[in-house]
Amino acid sequence: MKDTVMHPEPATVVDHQSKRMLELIGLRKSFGANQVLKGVDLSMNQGEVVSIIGASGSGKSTLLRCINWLETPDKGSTIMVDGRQVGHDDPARASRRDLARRRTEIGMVFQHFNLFPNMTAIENVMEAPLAHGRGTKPEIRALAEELLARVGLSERMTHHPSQLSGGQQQRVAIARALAMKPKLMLFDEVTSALDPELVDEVLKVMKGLAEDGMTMLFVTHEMAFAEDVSDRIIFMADGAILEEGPPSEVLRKPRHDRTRSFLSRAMRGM
Amino acid sequence: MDFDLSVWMTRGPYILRGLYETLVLLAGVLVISAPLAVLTGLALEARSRWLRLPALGLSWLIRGVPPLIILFIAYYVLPVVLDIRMDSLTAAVAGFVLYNTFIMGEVVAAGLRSVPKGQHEAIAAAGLPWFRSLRRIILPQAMPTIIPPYVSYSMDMVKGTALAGAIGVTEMVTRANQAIVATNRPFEILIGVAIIYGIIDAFLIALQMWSERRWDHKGHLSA
Repeated sequence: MKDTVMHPEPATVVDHQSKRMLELIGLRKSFGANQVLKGVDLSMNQGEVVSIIGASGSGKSTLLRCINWLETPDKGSTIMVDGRQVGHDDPARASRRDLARRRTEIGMVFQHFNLFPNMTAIENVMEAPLAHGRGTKPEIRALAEELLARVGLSERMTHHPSQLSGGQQQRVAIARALAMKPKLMLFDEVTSALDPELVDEVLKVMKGLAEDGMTMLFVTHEMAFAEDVSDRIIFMADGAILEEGPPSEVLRKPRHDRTRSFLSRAMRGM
Repeated sequence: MDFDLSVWMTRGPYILRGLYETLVLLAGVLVISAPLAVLTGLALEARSRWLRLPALGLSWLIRGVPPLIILFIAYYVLPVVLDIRMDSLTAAVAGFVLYNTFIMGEVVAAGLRSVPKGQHEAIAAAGLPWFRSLRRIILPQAMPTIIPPYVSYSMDMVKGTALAGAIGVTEMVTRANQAIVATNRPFEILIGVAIIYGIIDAFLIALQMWSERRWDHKGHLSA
């Protein structure tokens, strides 16, 4: 009792910093004979923002998609989210029902948005909480309105995806992923399919999320953005992590030649 | 050759009573086949081979057999082999339902395949339940692909009802033939029957146009 009165702040900060939100142990993934991930170990603390960079084919998207089992990891891979395993070391023993439940803790935003075209923006956001019984319809509607306001789309709630720009669609997709109050957010090249003038509005929303303390893992080609928001940058090559560290090191003082040559191409004009 | 429509005054009521059989066949087949076709389409696209392979085999078999043979089997063979006895109209409905379930099942399967992979990924990533997503997300998006061939096959079905005459269903064409024999007025009678078929088809086309608007998510028809 005395302690908490004397040191309330440091205690909570330490706790917040140390909580493991994601842990990958020996993550392997093969497509036939082609091994795309060659035993990746990675951990993220709560509130941490990590960007994965690397050439196409380096396995970075596959890594992201293995975390929520959109791709089934190879036998022997372990994925922990918030201290509990997602799926099973042996994919044959992973229960579909359990996977569905764990996936609600992991928000995912896709390169091509993948909004449900037959639903309005707000219906897209409401669908998952409704399906999982996360409250009454009015409560969920209020939550969806709040999330759409947060991504700057209060005026577009009853529009269908076909009536929205790419940037607007992607912001709806972010709100949709947030609606389940995920513990971890995965972003798979979410600005790659956007016209250049629409990229910033999406990046701004993601930066806001990062500042609010969301644990976020990006696969991105936006080097300036990665440098701006990330606590840590991971450079992947040939299905393995080649280099990782704070942006100031990986992006500005890379240790490996491959990182250097990738960056010299990717950061042209920065 | 003179053109005498008065034959419709005397024989018309008799021929038109055949509309009952024609419409019962059509409605029965479309209403019963529709849910069965969705199940067949799902089985054809199922991940489990225990669902997929039997569905593929049956589909190949049933679609390969002429509908007339299926009607003969339903009416003449089933009573002998399995002691299943049906009146001719029931047998015709059963035979056409079987045939249409697999024809339409393939249409539904094609519709399911037309839904982009990203939709399935978004559903999986959100942990959404299978049946709810099928009903609220997948099938509505498959509908624009399903509707046109579905209506085309339904129009075939309208015309195909005449086949039921071969197992003794006194549908419209059977009655028209009897009237032709009795009056020797084939031209007037057949034109009249063709017009009636045209009216039924017009309803189906109206239904198609309505449902295409109903399921239009891209907005290119509503403008």
